[in-house]
Amino acid sequence: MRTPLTLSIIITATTMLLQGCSNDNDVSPFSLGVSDSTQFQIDVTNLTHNQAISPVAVILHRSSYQPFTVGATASSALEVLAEEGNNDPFLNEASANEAVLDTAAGAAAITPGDSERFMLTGIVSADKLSLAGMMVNTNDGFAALNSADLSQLSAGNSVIFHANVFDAGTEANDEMAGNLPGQGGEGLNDARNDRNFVIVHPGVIGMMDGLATSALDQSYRFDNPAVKVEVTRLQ
Amino acid sequence: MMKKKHLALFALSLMASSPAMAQDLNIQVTNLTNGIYFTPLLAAAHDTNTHLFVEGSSASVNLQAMAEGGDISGLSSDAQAVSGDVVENPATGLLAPGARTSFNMMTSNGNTQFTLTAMLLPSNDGFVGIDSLDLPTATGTYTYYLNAYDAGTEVNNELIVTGSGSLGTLGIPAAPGGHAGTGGTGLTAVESNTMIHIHRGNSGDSNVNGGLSDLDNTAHRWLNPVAKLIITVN
Repeated sequence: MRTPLTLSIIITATTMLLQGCSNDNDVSPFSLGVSDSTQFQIDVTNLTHNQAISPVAVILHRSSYQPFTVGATASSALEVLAEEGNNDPFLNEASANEAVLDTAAGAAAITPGDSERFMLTGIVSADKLSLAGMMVNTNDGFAALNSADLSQLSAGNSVIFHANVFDAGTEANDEMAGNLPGQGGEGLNDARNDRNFVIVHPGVIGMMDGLATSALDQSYRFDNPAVKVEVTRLQ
Repeated sequence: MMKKKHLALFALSLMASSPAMAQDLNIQVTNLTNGIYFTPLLAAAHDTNTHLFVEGSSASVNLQAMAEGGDISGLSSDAQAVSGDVVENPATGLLAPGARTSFNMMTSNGNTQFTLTAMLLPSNDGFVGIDSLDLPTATGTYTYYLNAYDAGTEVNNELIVTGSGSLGTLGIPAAPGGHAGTGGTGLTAVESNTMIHIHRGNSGDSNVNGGLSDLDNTAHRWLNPVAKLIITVN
């Protein structure tokens, strides 16, 4: 039986991590004709109650590029994104990877309830979408899509993905104002004083729930998913 | 002969996959939460132009009435006004934690999208839902997990107030499963996201005679997903 597209979306949202498919295609974009190019319109909406999301990094790529892996150590570029909301190193690293076809950087933080639109151009064989932005009132939490599959999306159609929140594992979740960019605190700290691998974020505890050091009230709590990503293939 | 058979199979597959066809569905909804009740469910099959709610957008007044007081009459009328197929209140009342309800639904031609909503009790304006799921077309059983939303229309003060299911009256109308306290001073007076968004969850507290919230932090919290939806295409 054919798996409906909607079902695969649910699976994407639930499993949180998509493994890339094995039949990766290494054809150079320059050897392909115009008919092989794709264009995607990507609308990113912040679904949290009170967590602004730092300017997002949007990456269209083949399956051989992996932005991060749950259970593995975060790259330095991901640490910078997750601790201070700066997507420059993360996007530079992606752009240098030959499996990446196109990238885009958010113009500003996306506040709760707001959206930002991106346009990315790829080729038919580059059918994975990844995206990441820091939850600015966390120590090192980031909302991300990891290699969402666009291969079933035909021109003129749309699909909705939901991005969950991960913890880079590079900074302890003390929730102290001095360590939260959203509270005017420090961004990047090179010291890795947490478990040092990426996990699904355990959530914000907050001062009202007994974490005495926390600068966060209940409004910053969140549940998954944190972000809606609506992808429309224009071409 | 061979060719004819192929043609017949082709026609059959066209029938099975055409999203415009009427369908005979069985729908099952299970409440996956610890202590949250679902108010009467509204299930609707409708066309692709209709949305009873959209994530990241403002709630309609009818969506607000469902989310704050469990009143599905307005949303049901909205769906029927665009020739939607509607099933109201299949559980004949509240759907308790761990309980499930199942019902049949016949969809009309062109009603290819499925929407489900119900208020979460106790909450200020929380609801379980899914907006415009593409109904599967091939015979089979399909499972989905649903999230809890905040309508963004009411401050989550977490205070039990009789009569607060009416629009304009702040508070939580009821805590059907018990465990609610009294005398809370109010969790917050601010709603930071006034669009429909993912609910951050009830906070509650451990003080039954005071504190900020009238809710119980051991009984009234949840994490997504809050419901399981099984659609069987007959």
